[in-house]
Amino acid sequence: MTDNSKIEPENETHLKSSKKYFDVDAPVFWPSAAVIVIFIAITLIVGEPMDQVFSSIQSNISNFGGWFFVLSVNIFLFFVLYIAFSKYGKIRLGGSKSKPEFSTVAWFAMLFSAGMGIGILFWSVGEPINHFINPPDAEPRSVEAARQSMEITFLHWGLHAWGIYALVGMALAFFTFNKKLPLTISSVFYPLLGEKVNGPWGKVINVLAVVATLFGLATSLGLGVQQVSAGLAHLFNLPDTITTQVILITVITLAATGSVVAGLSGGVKRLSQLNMILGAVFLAFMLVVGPTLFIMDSFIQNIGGYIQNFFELSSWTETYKQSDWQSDWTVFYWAWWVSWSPFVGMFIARISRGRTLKEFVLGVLIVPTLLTFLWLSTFGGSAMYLELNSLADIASAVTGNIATSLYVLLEQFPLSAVTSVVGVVLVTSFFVTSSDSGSLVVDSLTAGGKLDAPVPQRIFWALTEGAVAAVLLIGGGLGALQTAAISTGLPFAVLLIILMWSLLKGLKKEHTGMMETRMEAERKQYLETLAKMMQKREQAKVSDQSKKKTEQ
Amino acid sequence: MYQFDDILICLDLSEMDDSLIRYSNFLVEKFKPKTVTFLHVIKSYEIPPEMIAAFPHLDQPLTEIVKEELQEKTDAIFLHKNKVKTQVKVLEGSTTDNIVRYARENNITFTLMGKKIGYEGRGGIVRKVISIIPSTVLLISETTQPRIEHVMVRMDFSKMSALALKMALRLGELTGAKISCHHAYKLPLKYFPVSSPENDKKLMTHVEKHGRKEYQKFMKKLGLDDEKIQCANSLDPENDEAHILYKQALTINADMIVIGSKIKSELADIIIDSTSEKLASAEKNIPVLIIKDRKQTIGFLKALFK
Repeated sequence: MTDNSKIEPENETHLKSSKKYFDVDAPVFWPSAAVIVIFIAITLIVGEPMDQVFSSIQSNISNFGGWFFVLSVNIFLFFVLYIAFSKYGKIRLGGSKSKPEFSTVAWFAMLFSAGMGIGILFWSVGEPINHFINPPDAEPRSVEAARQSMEITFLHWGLHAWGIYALVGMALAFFTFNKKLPLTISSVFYPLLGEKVNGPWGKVINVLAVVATLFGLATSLGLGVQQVSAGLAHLFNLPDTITTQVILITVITLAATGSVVAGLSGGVKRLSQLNMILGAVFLAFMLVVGPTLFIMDSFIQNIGGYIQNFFELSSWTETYKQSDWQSDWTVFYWAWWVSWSPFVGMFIARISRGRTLKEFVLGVLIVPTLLTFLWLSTFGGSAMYLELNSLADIASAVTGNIATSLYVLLEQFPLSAVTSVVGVVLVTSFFVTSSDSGSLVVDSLTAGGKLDAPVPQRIFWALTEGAVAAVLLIGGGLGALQTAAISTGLPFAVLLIILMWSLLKGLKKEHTGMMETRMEAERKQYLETLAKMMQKREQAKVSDQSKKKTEQ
Repeated sequence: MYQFDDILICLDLSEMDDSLIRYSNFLVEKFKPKTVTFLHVIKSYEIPPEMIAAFPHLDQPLTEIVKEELQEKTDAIFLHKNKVKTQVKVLEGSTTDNIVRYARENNITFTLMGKKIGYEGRGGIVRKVISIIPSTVLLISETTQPRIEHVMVRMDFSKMSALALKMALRLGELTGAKISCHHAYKLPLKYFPVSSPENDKKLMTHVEKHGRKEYQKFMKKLGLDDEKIQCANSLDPENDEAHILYKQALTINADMIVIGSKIKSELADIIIDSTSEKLASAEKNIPVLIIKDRKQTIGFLKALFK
């Protein structure tokens, strides 16, 4: 077990590992591993009936907890905005003398990269078209449905998602850099639990964070592999079955494990750079060959619509219609983002040292949101253009197999063979980097906050993530993936509410400390002035006395 | 109230002192006071004994040393010591209590302070002093130039605004400064479907018209000409009058804002109104003259120290 209380403030030994093979925080590692292994075993033993179990869990949580998710994500967003614009906004991550580790441009680029991922590749075409043919509150396939579908897609991928990440990222960064606590979720509860964060309560919190991250990650990986499989079927007529998907998970997980062994600066970094470049080229290509004017028009109009209807959209709970539309979409997204938040939160925390909380919140909310909106307007907007003008039938692909929707869209534009391959490569490399950095995060959480836990441990988590994704696919496909996110998202959302309270308490103390330091500096200056006066007088006195002595 | 016979200058041994002493030259030239007191309060209880022990040859008390230092400084910068009775005072104890007590006991009518004074955090002492001191207080910053050419009065048609306007007129007599007023108004609360841009515009026109009438009535009551002293109106949509006043003062190149400060007593604390307090913050560098209702403040003080 790591000793969290003995922390050296300046050098960050609390973030470094000293062991070679396994350096685990046993009370977190073993229960987390046990929960996941038990889950995998039950799903494999029970087999197909698990599908029903998953769907009943999902519908129950969505039906009874939907309002809670809707309320929570709004609270999270307004809370981080409050922090940014309150007196706490001036608090600097890493202390008042801390300088930003990365230049603002580099920081923005990294936030952009956090905004991209498997999810957006999977849903950017499928989601807007799905809402277009099955809108919550409009005539299907109408102009109103098109407008509404883009606004709702923006809601799901916009400020609320980044509000959750900003909350978790801010809390992790604050307690790690300013309070010198280990980089774990339990550290964030230090103001409430005190030294008890090293006791059973802290361990329970970390186990919950590990399980939530792992299921959130598995959901993304499951979606990614579905899309790769659909892409291969589309390109090479390979059978798009669960077996293919499981084989793909195995192959890609092994590739990810290779990348883990190569280390952060070797494998992951190069692959991430490749992802960013490929992603940027992919986006630029679509922007140019697609209906550029329509895309830009829709980008502007969608943002306007999103802002205009922000409050109505974000507080909508489907009270009067009583259908399952919202549970299938909005509640799923909120839960997915919540369970995904330790992963993204930890990434943005690590790159944001030296930023003030105001800079942090505004950067994290605005930069990735705008990129995501551009991506959604480009891919979703192009698909919408084709549908509205009856130039192609993307909708059938969405209703048939949503994972193929990106390829069906690409087919409508030049060089589709090349772009589809790029699409498959992009999803695959996103899979690898997500799995790798995901295992880094889970690894850190189960190693008491250390950032460089031994390689065998990371391999273990990379393989486990692959296994969870595969098992979820076997157990119930997309529904199972969604259930995994929702069922771990709910308890974690409760934890995030308590986290806000804890963070506020921590910030209050920090702010008081800041003011006291300033007052102390003024006091010191005043005393120095007094001391100088006294010294001057004393010197005059001494020289006076010696003069008198000489005269005598 | 509109006399400047006894002026108190609060010094804090920081660089601000030079600006305050320099500004006091200007005050003496314009206001022709009878006495000028430079006051510093040492928080002796905060001085560590080892600091005193480090200077074994000193046989003078600390207050004497500081007094001599301040005397040297005022001798060098203050130019009118032959024209007006001048003294340097150094007291020991709580800064706020000593300044307020001194002002009360010596019938100080005008106090000059730096916007950032003392070390009780951002303007803590200034805030406390302006809440309870019975005299008029002028707050200046390090960059304030010694001139009064355009005085802007905060207008809300109250008794305190009348006192502020009278003070501005007195300043006008002494310095030849131009006087203008500013009234920041709020719109009454309204709810959908009453609230719409058209309705808001109508309401604004109505409130402004009402404001103009109120101003005419107010000036008539004081026997003043509302044409000679103009009063501008502007909407205060975010309930931040200090910001509106400061912005307006910058726009019209006013070099002083005069505000009649309402005070209220909450339990054992006396609280100044938030607009005066915000204008007193160090970030806003236009001088602010805070007019107090002397009788009311002394009444509060008596109740407080009873």
